[in-house]
This record gives sequence, C-alpha cells and structure tokens, in this order.
Amino acid sequence: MTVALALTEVSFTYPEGEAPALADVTLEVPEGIFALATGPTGAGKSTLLRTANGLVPHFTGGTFAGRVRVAGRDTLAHAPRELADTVAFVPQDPAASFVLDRVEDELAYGMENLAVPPERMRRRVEEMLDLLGIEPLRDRSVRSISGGERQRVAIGAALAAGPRVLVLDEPTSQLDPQGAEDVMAALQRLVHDHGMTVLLAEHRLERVAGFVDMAIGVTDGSVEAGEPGEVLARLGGGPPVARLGRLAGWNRVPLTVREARATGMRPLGPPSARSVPALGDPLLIARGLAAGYDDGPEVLRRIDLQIRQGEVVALMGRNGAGKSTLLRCLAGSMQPTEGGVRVPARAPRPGVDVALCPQEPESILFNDTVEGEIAATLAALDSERPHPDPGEILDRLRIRALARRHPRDTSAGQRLLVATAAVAATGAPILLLDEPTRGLDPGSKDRLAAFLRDHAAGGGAVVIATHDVELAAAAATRVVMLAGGELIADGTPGQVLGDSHVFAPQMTRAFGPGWLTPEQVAAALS
Amino acid sequence: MREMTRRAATLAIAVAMALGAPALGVLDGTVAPACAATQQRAALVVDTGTQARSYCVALGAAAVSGTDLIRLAHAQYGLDYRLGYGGRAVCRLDGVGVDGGDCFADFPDYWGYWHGDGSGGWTWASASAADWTVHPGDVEGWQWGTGEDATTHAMPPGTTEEDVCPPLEPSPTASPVGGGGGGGHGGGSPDASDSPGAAGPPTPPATVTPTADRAPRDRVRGEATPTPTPSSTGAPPVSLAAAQGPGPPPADAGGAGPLLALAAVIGLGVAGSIVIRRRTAAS
Amino acid sequence: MHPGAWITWATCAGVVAFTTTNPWYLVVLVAASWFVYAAHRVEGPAARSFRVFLLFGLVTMLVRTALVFFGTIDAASVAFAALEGARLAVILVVFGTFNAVTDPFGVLRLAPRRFHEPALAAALALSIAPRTIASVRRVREAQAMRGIVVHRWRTLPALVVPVLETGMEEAMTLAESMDARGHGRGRRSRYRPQPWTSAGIATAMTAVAAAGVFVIASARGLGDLHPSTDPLEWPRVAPALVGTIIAVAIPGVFRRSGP
Repeated sequence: MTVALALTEVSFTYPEGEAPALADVTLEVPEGIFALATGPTGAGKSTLLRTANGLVPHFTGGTFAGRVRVAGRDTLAHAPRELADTVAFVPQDPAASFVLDRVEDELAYGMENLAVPPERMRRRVEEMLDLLGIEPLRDRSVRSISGGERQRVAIGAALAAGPRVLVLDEPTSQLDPQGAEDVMAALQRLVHDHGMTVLLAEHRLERVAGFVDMAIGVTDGSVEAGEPGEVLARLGGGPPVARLGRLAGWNRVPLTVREARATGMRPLGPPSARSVPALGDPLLIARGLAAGYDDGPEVLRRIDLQIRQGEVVALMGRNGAGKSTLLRCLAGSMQPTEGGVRVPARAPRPGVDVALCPQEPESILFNDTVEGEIAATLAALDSERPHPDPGEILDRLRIRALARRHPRDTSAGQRLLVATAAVAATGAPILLLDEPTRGLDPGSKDRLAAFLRDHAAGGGAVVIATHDVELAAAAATRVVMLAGGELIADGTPGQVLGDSHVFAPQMTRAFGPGWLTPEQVAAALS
Repeated sequence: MREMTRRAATLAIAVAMALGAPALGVLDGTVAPACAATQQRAALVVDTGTQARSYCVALGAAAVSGTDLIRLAHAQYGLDYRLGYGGRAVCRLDGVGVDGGDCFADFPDYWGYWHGDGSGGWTWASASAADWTVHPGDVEGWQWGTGEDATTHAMPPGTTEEDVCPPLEPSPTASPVGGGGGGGHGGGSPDASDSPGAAGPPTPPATVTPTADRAPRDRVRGEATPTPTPSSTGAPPVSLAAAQGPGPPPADAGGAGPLLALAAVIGLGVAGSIVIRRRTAAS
Repeated sequence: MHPGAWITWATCAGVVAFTTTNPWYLVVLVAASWFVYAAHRVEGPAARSFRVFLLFGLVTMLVRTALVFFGTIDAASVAFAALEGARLAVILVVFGTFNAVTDPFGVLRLAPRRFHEPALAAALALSIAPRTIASVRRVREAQAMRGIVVHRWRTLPALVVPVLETGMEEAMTLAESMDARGHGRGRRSRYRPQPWTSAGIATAMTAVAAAGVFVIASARGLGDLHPSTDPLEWPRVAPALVGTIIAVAIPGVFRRSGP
C-alpha cells in the first residue's frame, strides 16, 4: 500500500514555545485510510495536522527537524500553495478561512488557483453542493449562514479541488448531530469509493469512532498510531460505549453502539428514576418571546420558558434553530421584538443577574494572564457585591496550572475553560454558555459538566446551547428542543433525548430510553 | 426591520422638508443691512473692466477687514458680491467674476486687489482681504482683469477718499443725502435714534466711470469679452437656465429645481425602504 | 452585476459628490445611494457598512464644522465648513454603499495577473472595515455579558485587544487558507466569470455620463454646484442636474443577483 502521509522523526517547537509541540514523531498514514487524530486538548493535534501541507513550519516559523512527505512530496521543499493540488486543509474556524463572499464562488476558489478548466469546475461545484447538502445556500453570503453551514461549505471548498489527502481540524464541532453524521458519511464515501485519504482531529469520538480505520493518539507532542480500539483504550478515552466497556470490565471494549449491543449485555428493567434535585424558585422567566435580526426573518416565535434554581438546561436543536438568539435574549443583550424576559422582578442585568460565555471565547480574552482575566471581571463588579474567589474558580475548572499563562497561548479547549471561568467570576446566578464544546476533550468536558452542575446545585442555574448530546446527557437536568424558532420539546433528558432518533445519546441507542450515561448503565449492570 | 425602514423614510422626509422649507418661503435668507455709523467712512472702488463704480462705505467701527468692507457695501448699496474659500477670496463683484466656489477658475482673469495710497495711486495687496484692516479714510480697489501681480494686473481708476465721500455734514441730524451730483454717501444709518430722518433704501453710488477707453492693456480683455458675465464661458444648455444668473435673491431658490430634488429624495428614500421591506419579507 | 460595474458606479458617484457642495445635489445623491444600497446590499455584516459610513460621514461633517469655532464665527464660515464637510460625508456614503454591495475579493479577481499582489492588498484593506465592524459589535456584546461595559478609557483594552488580536488571527488564518488553497500559483482559471450584463453596462454608462455632466457643469460654473456662502444664499437647483443624479440610482431598479 502506498503511503499518503509520512512523518519521519519530526520535532517542532513554536518560535516562542518552551516545550516542543511535536517531539520525534514518526508516523505513516497509508493511502485510502480514514484516520483520526485524538488526544487531550493542547496536546499537539492541530500542529500535527498543520505539518501535513507545510503550514507548519512555512507559516509558523519555529524550529523544525525531520521530514514530512505527503504523496511523496517533501513539505519543506514545497510551499503549501504548491501542495494545494495534493492536500487540502480545513481549519478549526472555517469562517476565518473564507476568501470570497458567495458560497458558490468560495467552493470554486481553490480550483481557480489550480487552473481547473471552467466546465470541470462547474460540474465539481454542483457535485459539492449536493454532496454536502448545501445546494440551497449557493447564492448566499458565507458571512450570513450559520456556523454548521459554514463548516460544510469549508469542507466542500477543500474537497472541490480534488485533493488526494484531506486534513480536517474538528470538522463537526459546530454541527448538529444529523449534520455531523452526514459529513462523516460523505467523508467515508470519499475514502471507500475514491481512495482518498482523510485525516481528522476530533474530540467527540462518538461521532467518528464508527467510521475511522486508524487512530493516532497525541499526548504531549508524541504520537502512537494503530487500530482505533487499541489506541483509544491506551488513551483511556473513547466514546461513551467504550467508557461503559471499561467501567463494566468487558473483555472487548466496544467503539460503536452496534458493538455494544453485540456484547449481549443489557441492564435489567427500566432505569431507576434519576434523583432530580428539588426545583427552586424561578430565576428567569421568558414570556411570548419573539425575536429577529434587522432585516432577516423572525428567528424566535412566542417562546415561553422558565428557568428555575438548580436547573442545568440544555438548549438543543439543529443548526439555525434559534439557540444562540434565545440565549442572547435571555442574557438581555438582544431586545426581543415581542414579549420579554424577567429575573423575576425586573429585566435581567448582564453581568449581574446573567452572564454569557460566547461561542468564540477569544472575543472576551484580553489580559496577559489567565488570572488577570479573572481579575478583570472582578474589577468590573459592584464593590458591595460579594466577590467570588478567583483561585477557587480556577480550581473548580482545574485550570489553576494555567494561571500565569497567556490566554491566547493555550489550546482552543483551554481557552474555553478560561473564558468560562472569567464569565463565572461575575458571580451571576444564571450562567449561559453558547456551544462550549469546540476543542474540548472528554476530560475537560467532564470538568465543565461538573462545574455547571455545581453551579446549579449552589443555588444558580445554567442554560447551555449545545449540539453535544453526550454533554446534555451527562450534565443537563432538563432538555429544551428548538425547531424553526419554536419550542418543540421540554422535559428531562430521559424524556426528550430518549424520544429522538437524532439526538439520542449512545446509551439510549444501545439500551433504550432512559439510559443516559455509562456510569448509570454500569451501575445497573453490576 | 419595519422599524428601520420607517425610520429611514421619516428621516428622508425630514431632511427634504428642512431643505425645502426655506425654498417655499418659510424662512427668509435676507440679511439685515448693517448699521452704518456716519462718522467713519472708507471708499471702495469696483472696476469690472468695463466700468468702475465707487462707494462711500460707512464702517460702523474703527477698523474692519477688506472683505467686511465689501459686505458693508452690499448692505448699504446692494453691491453684488460673492466670496469663496470660506470668505478668504473674492469670486464675484458687481455681477462680474466667477460664479462657483473656485474664485480663480477663470485665471488668469481674477479680481485684483489694490490699496489706495491716499493720493490717487494704488499699491498691490499682498495679503488676503480677509486679513487686511481697513481704517476710516482708506481707499480699497478691486479690478477684474488679467495679470499675476502689481506689474501685470490692471489698476482701478485713480481715486482718493475725497473723490468718493462728500465732506461730512456739520450736524449728524442733517437731511439724508440724496446721492446727487458728484458723490453719494451711503444711505445713512437705519438707526432712527442716530439719524431719525435717514431711514430709506440705500441710494446707488454716484460715481460710475466707464473704463472701456482706458489703457489698451486693459481693453484687450474687454474687447474679447465685451460683457463679462459668469456664463460668458459658453452658452449654457437651456435646461440649466434655472440656475443661471449671478446671485438672484433667495426667492429664486424656489421653483422647479427644489421641488424636483425634494420629490427625488422622498421618492428614492421611500422606494429604497419598500425594496428593503420586500427583500426582508422574501427571505 | 459585474464587479467592474460597481467600481465604475462608485468612482463616478464619488466624482459627482466631489464636484459639488450644493446640499440639494448632495442630499439627492445620498438618497440615490440609499436606493442602490437597498436593492443590492449583500447579506451579512458588510451590509452594515452603509449605516456605519453614513454615521462616520455625519461625524466628519460635524468635526469639519466644529473646526470653524476656532476662528471667526459667522453664518457664512459655518455654512462654508458644513458644506465642505457634507461633500466629504457624501463621498463616504458612496464608499459605504460600494462596500455594502460588493465583495472586495470578487473585485480582486478582476485584476490582471501582474497586478494581483497590489489588488490582493487592496482587497484585504477593503475587507477590513466590514470585518472590524462585525468584530467590534461581537466583542462589545460579549464583554458586556461578563459585566465589562466598554465606555471609558480604562475599559478600552477589553474591546481593543480582542478586536485586534482576533483580527490578526483571522488575517493569519486567511493568509494560510489562501496559500493552502493554491493562491499565487500563477496560472489560474475563472469560475463562471460574471458577464457584463445589460444591467451592468447600463449602470456603468449612466454613472460615467452623470460624472461627465457634473465635471462639465463644474468646469463651466453651471448649476450652482458651489452655492455662495458669503453672502449666504439659498442654493439654487438645476432640474437637469437633479435628473442626472437620479440617473445614478439606476442600478437600484435592476434585479439583484448573487449574495
């Protein structure tokens, strides 16, 4: 088998980095393979991916040793642009990578640079529109479409140029479960039917484990590659079914729902009702909420919602369902066109009654250190209000080790935790989080979930807009489902997620409604 | 979104009305004539190249600027003028000169600025009239003609203050000056307490000197354009006629032009709002 | 519409604005720009640039007028400064309209190959305004949500640092993305080159004609393009010139295609 991507004794240190981001990495990805790079946040996955087309070190500088060959071509001898016909790269934030404005033009941009004949470009653009289900967007502006749609356009734009190797950094992080499933299926088809090589980094293993042929575990700059089951077992991670397998002590740790079912192990009887904490007083009341943007159509329609003390509410729904808009209305940063939001007696004051962690954590980070970031929030508080202890917040999110680091020198997942800490430092009882899962590894996700549960248990409430069904299953006490700006389901995670094909977590898929987390199932099995 | 389009339409109409109101006679742009103190006077000579007029201007202060002198002559005698560059240059006097914002658009023809030397001669002004101080008894001259400096630009006819301003009456309560014979003294003060009998329209200046028979140097230009008017640079299209003619009174600002402009602003504003609303509804 | 039509439109509308300080013509030109903007603005944050530049223009006009108060204050000089300021403001509005109806990188693709690099720099520069507008809004809102309201000098870093750093990171990502997608390989082909439609030709031609009329009127001193401010006179209006500016709004009646 030919080798699509080969790294030989690669070491790399960023210009101002202290420790090497990659340390003596040797790796071969054969052609026609679907490979997954995974590992804790900040371990060097993005760096590894960026060596594949020479962005590291051509764009980064730094100290590079060893050799990377992609389809036989040395990335040191060839600039990224010369490798554009061989390898395509989709970065973590697709919005920043768009060059042109119209979706259709963006899809064709790479082909134009490769001087693909116009007729062929035309055909391939149409193919991409169909393959990724973005045909209705062809005339739209890439700035006006939703995050999930952008991710699909970015993938289409990379694929259109017809590369042999496709490298993607967290391609499903902003996609709803169905959208993620569609993208993964499309990638698998490219691998199976066209012999393409795909290398992707992903934290949400439940979405990808069933598709990949090979896993590359990245920890602290070193890698180990191999069969997905083995690698994930050694990393101690894996999707919820794998976690269940380890918790229950199964011989063969499953990677997919199907494999978990095949073990024949099933909990007896329906799940015992989860101990739901007694609900407190309503903290936030939305009545008849309708909202829209300047000149767009209505995004929210007559939403009635009450958030009570002690609740962790997961706000779910497909891309563009109105989740972010609802959060902005709840936070008081957007004026609804009808209806209103109260904390019971008055309108919510941002930073006092409610605080929101934005989708891009980078938009609030401005200090030189992580602890400075917390201090900045505290400095803005009214002096008579009780100030939370900054150290305690860092401890609860387990990022005290980062206290003196520059927030922007941390990984995407770490930045999210820092931003969450900075927002939580307001001491606002109601905490809102918009898609807090980009770059978040399972370990960090557990910490975040525990932090949110603690916050709610301590007399507050949390609303979290997310596509991550496993996070909702693990952390939420209540799930609210939106579709087309309307509230279509509201209940416990067991009720709402158990009743859905698309939003069901792995445990529900494997063992039926009501089963949500591996811990719950493992307890029932033993 | 509807809110926005409505706001835009309201704004468009408000702006249009603000612009339109004066044109419809709601506001009056006429400037009240300056109060002329009879004791302090200076002479102003305006030579268009075909004829020279002199004005005995009451200053109303111990010192005014060269451009203020023109403004005072406008207030007291109705001298037509237009300044440019924010009041720092003279574009048009007595219907002659440039009718745009650039006073030197007709260069090398422009309004040359001279100071009288007290004995009928002239010295070339080196500073802007806005920065020059005119004192009682001074003579100021303006000449429309060719030439870059004192040696090449034509001069107004030699004039002294006494040529223009008649001897002062012994008593300020004397009868108003009728502007006969050899010298017109400004129409007196409109201030009734100062000179009760002086109220009345300013009289035209007395001294008018045809200059067509002066030095040949001056007449070269005069022959080429016997009647220098602002539109002398070419025959204007008929449709532009509404905007023609130097300095018409404010009432002339009405008529078809402003109405058309108003209609255009409202029409385009409302049409734009409708288009936006439609696009919004469609999306 | 062909990007070239928009370049022509914006240049010519700018020339019209440049040749006059007559508020009548300037206001009609703003209305014409608004109509064109309404019909052709793109989706997304770039569409805001009309309003942003309108505001920016008004501020420019106020500042220009306020400068008068350092010198002699009279109606004439205030009016003169206000009209000069208004002309600048309207040029900015035209630029804002151009920004709101076109894609700067679409304009970039028109550039001949040897001018590709300068055109790229220009396109990047053009795209900075809408990107920054979007970024400032996002960061302000996000910071307010953690209780940091940016309204004083002391809190300014909370806005400026994320905007600049995110801007730098985005610019880096864009540069990487362009390179990784083969930008600058030399030979390139064109995907569905936008044809010069009759709408585009009509837009460009009316704009050129309008600019021509104003340049001629300006050279000949016709139409009271610069109304007298000293003496302060009510500006006169030539119906033909109003009609000419209405013609500048012609692209607004064509159907919009694309984003």
